[in-house]
Amino acid sequence: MASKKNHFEEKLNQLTSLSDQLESGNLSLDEMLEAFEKGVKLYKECHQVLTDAEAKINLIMIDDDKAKEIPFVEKGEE
Amino acid sequence: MLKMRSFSVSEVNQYIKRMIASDPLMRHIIVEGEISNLTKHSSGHYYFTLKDESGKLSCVMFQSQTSQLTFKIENGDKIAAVGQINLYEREGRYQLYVQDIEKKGLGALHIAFEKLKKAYLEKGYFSKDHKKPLPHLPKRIGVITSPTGAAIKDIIAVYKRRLPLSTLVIYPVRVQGAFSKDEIVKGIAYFNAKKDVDLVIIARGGGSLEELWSFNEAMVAEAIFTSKIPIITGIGHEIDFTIADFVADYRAATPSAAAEIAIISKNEVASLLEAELNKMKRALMRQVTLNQLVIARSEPERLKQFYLRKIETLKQQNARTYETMTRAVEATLSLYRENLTLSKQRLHMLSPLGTLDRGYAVVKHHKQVLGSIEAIEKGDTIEITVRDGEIKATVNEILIKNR
Repeated sequence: MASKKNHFEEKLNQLTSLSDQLESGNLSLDEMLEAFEKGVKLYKECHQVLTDAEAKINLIMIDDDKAKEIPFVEKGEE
Repeated sequence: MLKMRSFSVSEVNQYIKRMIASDPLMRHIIVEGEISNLTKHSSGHYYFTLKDESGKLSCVMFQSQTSQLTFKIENGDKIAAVGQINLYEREGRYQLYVQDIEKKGLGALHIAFEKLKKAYLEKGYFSKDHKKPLPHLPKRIGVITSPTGAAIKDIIAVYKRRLPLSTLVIYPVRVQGAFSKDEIVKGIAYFNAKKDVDLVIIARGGGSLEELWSFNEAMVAEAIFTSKIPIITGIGHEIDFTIADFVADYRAATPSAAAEIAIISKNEVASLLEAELNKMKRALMRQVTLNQLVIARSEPERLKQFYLRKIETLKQQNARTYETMTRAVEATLSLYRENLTLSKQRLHMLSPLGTLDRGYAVVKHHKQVLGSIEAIEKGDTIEITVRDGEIKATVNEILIKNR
């Protein structure tokens, strides 16, 4: 799961560096089109991560020496 | 109608007294609070009130006990009083009959805290260089806190408000008391071993220095210092600082503040993505527009017009130059002609032929020009050239010119 997070942050970093490159104006038109394509792809992937991310709250239950992660139920919730 | 039995005041008091006395806790209890309304009677008896934020308890400590005290007590002192609670019938109130007092003052703990702070500062535990950067986009956040405390409620409130990207994982601990420090350390160890969270928040609601003390414990400081996962602390209120706060990679003033720092909202990320997309679009549009301009400029008809115009201009320039040159040459030529004419005239004037034209004659003797009377004698033959011919003559007379 930690790797998933790395991927998202990496993707976002790649996206940022691509947009910086495009802005710099140092690319030829061909290179720009390629970078733009890549950028849009990354944008879509990142957006997907947002859509997929679930807001979850879990609780660690420790039974003897075994730990389990279960959904957290707040006090006052049914 | 049933008539209710009435009781005398004494009967009621006795009743309550029996009730209180029958509770073992009331017979031996430790009560912590702050001393106020202290009266030190001449008899040696102390009368005071123990109070906390929401209540008061009347206390009395008799001379036989106060004489055993090894320290002075004053208003404002925080103490733990051991004794029993009973009804003081006379006044119709219950009170704590104090047998012994332990000073729990801020003073003692405060000194201990400052000592610890100094020690860890010198050890380099607070050093900025050691603090880890916080992850920008944590996918999973561990929270070490009481599952029923105020802190987790605050954190969850912030969490829900923010449409979060991350999962919260709560490691439940006791946040005060003897077992607290061990559990906190276990929590930090758990997350470090499992490595499945990107960030840990250690949180606890407000409390007194004693209540927050587990966050000043050595083992907790060590665990935070050696944690490979970044740790944010959100302990107590703005003014509360614990050793854990100093050692942590980031200290937030409260649990809510910690949540605000740690939990990134989907909206924030979405805006970020939008911004990058727009940046790229703009850059591309700029380049495309530039290229369109270049293409337009290179279009054949336009180029032809461009060059035709250029040729026209050059032609005109050419024509002007030609004119100018011609005029210059003409001017020079007339000048030369004039010069020539002038020279001719001068030449004519200086030429012997010109002289002849004016009426002068050239006299020769033996084909040599005669310039003096010495070169001639009477009777010689001379040749005289005039304008239109030659005269052969004989010298008749020679006259010397008078000076």
